[in-house]
Amino acid sequence: MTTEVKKLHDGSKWGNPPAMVYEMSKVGMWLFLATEILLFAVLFTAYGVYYFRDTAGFHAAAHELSVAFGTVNTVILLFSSFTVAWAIEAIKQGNQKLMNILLAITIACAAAFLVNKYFEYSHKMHEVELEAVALAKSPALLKSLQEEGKCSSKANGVEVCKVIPFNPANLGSTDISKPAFASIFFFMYFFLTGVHGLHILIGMGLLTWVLVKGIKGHFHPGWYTPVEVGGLYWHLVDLIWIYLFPLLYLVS
Amino acid sequence: MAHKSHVKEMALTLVSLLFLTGITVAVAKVNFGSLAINISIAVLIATVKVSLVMLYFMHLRWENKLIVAFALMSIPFVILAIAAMMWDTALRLNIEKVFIN
Repeated sequence: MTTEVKKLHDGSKWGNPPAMVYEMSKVGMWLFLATEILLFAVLFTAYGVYYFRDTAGFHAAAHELSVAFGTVNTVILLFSSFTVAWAIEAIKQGNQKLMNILLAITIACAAAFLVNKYFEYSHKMHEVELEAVALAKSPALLKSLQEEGKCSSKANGVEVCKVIPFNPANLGSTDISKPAFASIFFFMYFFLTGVHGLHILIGMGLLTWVLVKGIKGHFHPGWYTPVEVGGLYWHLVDLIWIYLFPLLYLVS
Repeated sequence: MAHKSHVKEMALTLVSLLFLTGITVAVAKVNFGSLAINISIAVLIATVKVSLVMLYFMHLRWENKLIVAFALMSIPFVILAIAAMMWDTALRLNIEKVFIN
């Protein structure tokens, strides 16, 4: 065994003093988060345009999303935001062990979120029953479903059709009666939650990198900038989801 | 670097966020008379939640002015994009209704 004394990172970088590195890293991350917010603003704007053009269709299609799954995922993300914020408080007090535990919980929450998403996604790649009004803006698809006998009228007179919201087999199809997404709602749902899910994945990777450094004992009250900046990124994922949840799951 | 512990504020923030999530789910089932009112209420609650996350979890309450300015600078553009979209889309849909029906 070597008796080498581990040299602690003093928080300086490229000859800049620790306080400056800490403050400028935060400014840099916030600047990046501003661009992320604008990226999602574009997606939300697109969602809004389609929503106003086909409000009834969006409401009928949103029935297909599980509010229970969405709520559970909201709670998971809010809780993980809390644990990562607490992890920063812990390392400020010099408690490395608590920080590592809290970071591990945060990463586990991220994994749980993705597992939930996997179940939600796979459910939407199988046949579900949708009100025909959800497909009103996809007339060719609706017509072909009616011809295949997949549509029927319920006792209350509402027409329902059996349809696959997202059929990967139809990706790249040029036949308008065979779209990959049954309606624009499902396209927007997969697009918005897909880009958000990608951020969860990146955040998980980032926090895992921070945790590995944490386990190696790199962080102390004088140097925890990666924990703080990684945490900021993780909170963004939460911010976006806070808006996505009511707009996608609760509009029905 | 500040070393004052904010764990208590963080815990209170989490409780408030969970409470507001419950309210969001509950009010979504209530019809407030018009779609616009329902959506406005949902977005308003979401904005309160986002403000709590930014102020406490993301430490903006205790940050210096430069960081607060960087954090807020995208927001006017988000509002511009969404407000302009809503105004224009609503206007065109009304025109379609007037001329087609």
